[in-house]
Amino acid sequence: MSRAKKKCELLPDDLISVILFLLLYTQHSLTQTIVPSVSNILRYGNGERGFVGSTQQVSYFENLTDIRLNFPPSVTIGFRLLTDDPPEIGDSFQGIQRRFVEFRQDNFSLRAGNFNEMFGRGLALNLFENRGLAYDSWMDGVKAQYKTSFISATILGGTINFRDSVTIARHELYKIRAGNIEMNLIKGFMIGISFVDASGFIPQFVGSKTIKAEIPEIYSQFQFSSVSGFIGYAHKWTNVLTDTSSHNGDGVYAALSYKGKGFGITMDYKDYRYDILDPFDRGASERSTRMLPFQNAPIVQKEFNYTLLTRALHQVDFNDEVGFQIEGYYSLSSSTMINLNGSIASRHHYYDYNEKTFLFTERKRNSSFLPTPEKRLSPYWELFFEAEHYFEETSAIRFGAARRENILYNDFTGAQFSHTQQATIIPLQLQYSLTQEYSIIVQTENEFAYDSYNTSNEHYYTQLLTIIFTRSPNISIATRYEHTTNTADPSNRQDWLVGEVGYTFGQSHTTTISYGKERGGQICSNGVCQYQLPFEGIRFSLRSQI
Amino acid sequence: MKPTFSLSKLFLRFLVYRFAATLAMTTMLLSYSLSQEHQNLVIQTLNGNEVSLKELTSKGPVLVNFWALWCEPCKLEMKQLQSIYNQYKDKGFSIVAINQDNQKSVSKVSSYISSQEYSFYISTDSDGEIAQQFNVQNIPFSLLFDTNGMIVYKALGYKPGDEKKIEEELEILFSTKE
Repeated sequence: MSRAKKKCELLPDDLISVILFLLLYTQHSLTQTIVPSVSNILRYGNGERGFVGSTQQVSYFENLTDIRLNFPPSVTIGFRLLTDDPPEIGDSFQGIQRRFVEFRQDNFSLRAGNFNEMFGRGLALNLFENRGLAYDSWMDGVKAQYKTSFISATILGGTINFRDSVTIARHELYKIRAGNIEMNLIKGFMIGISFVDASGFIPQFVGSKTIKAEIPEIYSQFQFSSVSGFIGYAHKWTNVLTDTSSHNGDGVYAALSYKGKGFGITMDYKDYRYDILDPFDRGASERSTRMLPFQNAPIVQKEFNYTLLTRALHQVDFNDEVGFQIEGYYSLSSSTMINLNGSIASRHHYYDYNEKTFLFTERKRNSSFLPTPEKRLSPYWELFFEAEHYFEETSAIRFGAARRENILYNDFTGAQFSHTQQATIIPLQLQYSLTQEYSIIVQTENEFAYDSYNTSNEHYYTQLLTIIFTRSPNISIATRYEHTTNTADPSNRQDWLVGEVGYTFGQSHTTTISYGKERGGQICSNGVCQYQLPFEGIRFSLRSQI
Repeated sequence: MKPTFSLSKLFLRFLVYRFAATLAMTTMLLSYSLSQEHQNLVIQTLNGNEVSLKELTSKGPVLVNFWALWCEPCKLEMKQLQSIYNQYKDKGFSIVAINQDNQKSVSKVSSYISSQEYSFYISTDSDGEIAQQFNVQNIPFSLLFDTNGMIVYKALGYKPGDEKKIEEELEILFSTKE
């Protein structure tokens, strides 16, 4: 499918705006009963983006308005007006992207239209949207829920039109029927069961496949005194109707937390075996037997808020990965806190390559329920330490250190041509309040990296310096400078400098304008954090929450 | 680098038209209050208890705050919110901090809260259902409700010093009550 413009089939968007304007502004009787809430995001960018030897002119305009109208006592109508043309990523769109009608009465709710949902921790069903990554698995259908303190029951049915966020022209279509029940048998102990029935149309590089999948799930959550935990198991059976083959896979996720006065520790575990394949077949990301896009289990890795650390080395393979993570928070005093995190993940089994037959033989590992640092199993590990100390009420210093390594083993050639990436990152942040209104944040992140595939310079250094000056509550002025010694960066650059001014007015309208070169990642600016794509040029955003 | 910089009339029209429509909706929302769906909102806290927004507002002002572990401004703000809570809780003031971490990090929330020893209400919202009811798109985001369920203050984002505005609003509320 080409990147064709999609238009609302009902009404032109200008006419919709007029209708809304009249409905909400002139109808006095209606304003007495309707309780509306509106959020609006307007984003504009004009510049260019460099990638692997070429530079592309980029211009985007996005205006996203989410509106909820509550008609007391029980009905809510909601819709999203979206103008995304030209888009920063994905397809162009103009019109009503989402709409729903919801009825709530006592413990019962019924929703028709677009909705999201998650069962347990997402092993079987997790419908969500992340616009920064162009990921949207919201469903269009009907959902009914009944919730009391003892039981929660959900049934839903509908369709998902999922756009591949990597190959954006590719769409997968799913028809889903699913149900979930959670029961609080005793206080602090809950058990849940889910069942997802899906049929899907999945385009391949050549042709397409239709599938039928069934995903039963069981999970439990408990909390007793200082200990809380979760364990869940889901099984996926896929019948590929196109070639009458069937496939089985499953996933396990567990978490255990212990907390006390001034500290807390959490351990996560994952064992995802939704589609374990040999190296020939596992690279096909569009294959029909993989974990499906309406499933999204926990990644069991830390979500960082330092920009360089948000550029992930490791992409979690939900089809063949086992691992665990430990994270601890400890307060030395009311003004000093320590955070420690460690995680490790790897594949399950070995694959021996036969150079005569050109085939792989799977050699199962007895301890495949545990991750291993053994290189043949493409391990990933990371360690992170952070200390934070408040030396005044709103002045603090934060120091961190992270070390991580990712190995993508080449089963065809062995260790010699495997891809090894290592990085040591040291962030340091000073936040200082000059007066009650004025403050300054200076943040530096330093990365010492190694990349075995970088033929220009395997070892390189990257530094990011951020200076933010704020005047509460209105003004934020920031500059970010990044420099790398890596001469083979895909953007063809080694320096990035961006200046930014933000202004907040009317309590909940935040506008930001920036100019320069942005390398991308999780950026906190003007008091709000968001994921930004690489960009060079001028950017403008206006965020309103009404 | 030469950014092409052309603001067409069409773009200007969209900008002005869209923003005007949004602001127009705002002008008549001079008295945004707790809608029926918010009034009926019962939130389950990390301790397993249930709190009703309507019940809390009947006792005093309530600050509803949306935050996440990955959001540094959110964590900066929460430290200040604890100070404000300590100062005004005896007058009936409540804070409900609704965590927005999804399934990736939600298991760590209780550990983090325990280490910080925050004593106000904390709830998780890993599927974003509560955030949707309040139409939250960005965080941190805070709403201050008075005892009549009316919003008297809201804030998108956090900069050091913003907490003074919350204190000012609470002082007005409590002085009016007296």
